[in-house]
Amino acid sequence: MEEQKKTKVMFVCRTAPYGTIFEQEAIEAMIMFGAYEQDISVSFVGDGVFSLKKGQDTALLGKKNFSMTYPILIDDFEISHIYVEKESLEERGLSGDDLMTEVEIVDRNLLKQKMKEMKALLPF
Amino acid sequence: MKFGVLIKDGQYTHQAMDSAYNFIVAAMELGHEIKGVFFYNEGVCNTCGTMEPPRDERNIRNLLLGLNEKGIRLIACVAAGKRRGLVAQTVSSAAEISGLGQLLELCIESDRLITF
Amino acid sequence: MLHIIKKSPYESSALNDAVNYINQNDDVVLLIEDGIYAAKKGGKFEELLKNLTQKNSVYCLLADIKARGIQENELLENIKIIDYKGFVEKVVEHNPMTWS
Repeated sequence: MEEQKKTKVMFVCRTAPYGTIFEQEAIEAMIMFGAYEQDISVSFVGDGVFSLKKGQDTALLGKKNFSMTYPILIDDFEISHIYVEKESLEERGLSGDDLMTEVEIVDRNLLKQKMKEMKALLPF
Repeated sequence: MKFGVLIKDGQYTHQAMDSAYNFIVAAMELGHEIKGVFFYNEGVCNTCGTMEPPRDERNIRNLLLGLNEKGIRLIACVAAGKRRGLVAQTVSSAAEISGLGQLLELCIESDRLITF
Repeated sequence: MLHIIKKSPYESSALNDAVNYINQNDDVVLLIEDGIYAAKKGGKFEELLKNLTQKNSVYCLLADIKARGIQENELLENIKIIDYKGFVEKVVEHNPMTWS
């Protein structure tokens, strides 16, 4: 019963990191949302998949490396799922081994179904 | 129906605020309720209280005052706002500054959340 | 779902990404702002839009096509035009996702 009351919200991240602020402010929102005990999931589609690339080093850029947050989103911030679209990874020459954390790599059709189940979709 | 509105683009550079405004007016004319408008990313800049565009141009500051007079809550994200110089002294009297929890509240309380 | 596409397909992946997430028959597409250029006859996205309109309803926002000087007869066949009230009605009928 308790489970049914939770609102399902999905972040749909479609932008690469650093070039714009969208990834950074999406993460800030994910962290906040996690504290409210709702059913929050995150998906990476298109250029959004670059946000999860291993080995990001922002020292020369003079910016904080926000990708360090992804490995702890589920355990520390109560995010339910992190989905990455398989086709977007492949189109960009990436595979699961290139990603910095364990995520659910799903094909478009499955992610499409997940999106349909959401009450609110937040594009970033 | 109850709508929540999220605005992510800044004023004048993008059309988001104009599209959102026209959508909100149409929704109210059709008898729907706007639970709130949340401003995030560069969208927070729409709530700047010191904007003064040329007089013959549509004025976003006045558009927001009009929405607020209709009883619509306009909420600028505190963190995104601070980052861009939007604080209590610079925010429009039409808007309030609050946290991201308000955006999640809008997701929960509205039948539909629409992003511009 | 209602897929709102608001960037020109010539500058953004919004349309191409959205197409992958459109449920055939059920979903509706609304082109707004610079997104409306996708529906112009003779453009690069004509084939894609034609395929889309076979299974899904595709709408353009009236204010945005008028502002950009696009006449109704310059739009592809089967593209429907709606005003802001029509836009609101589509959001009432379908959960929206915005692609930019």
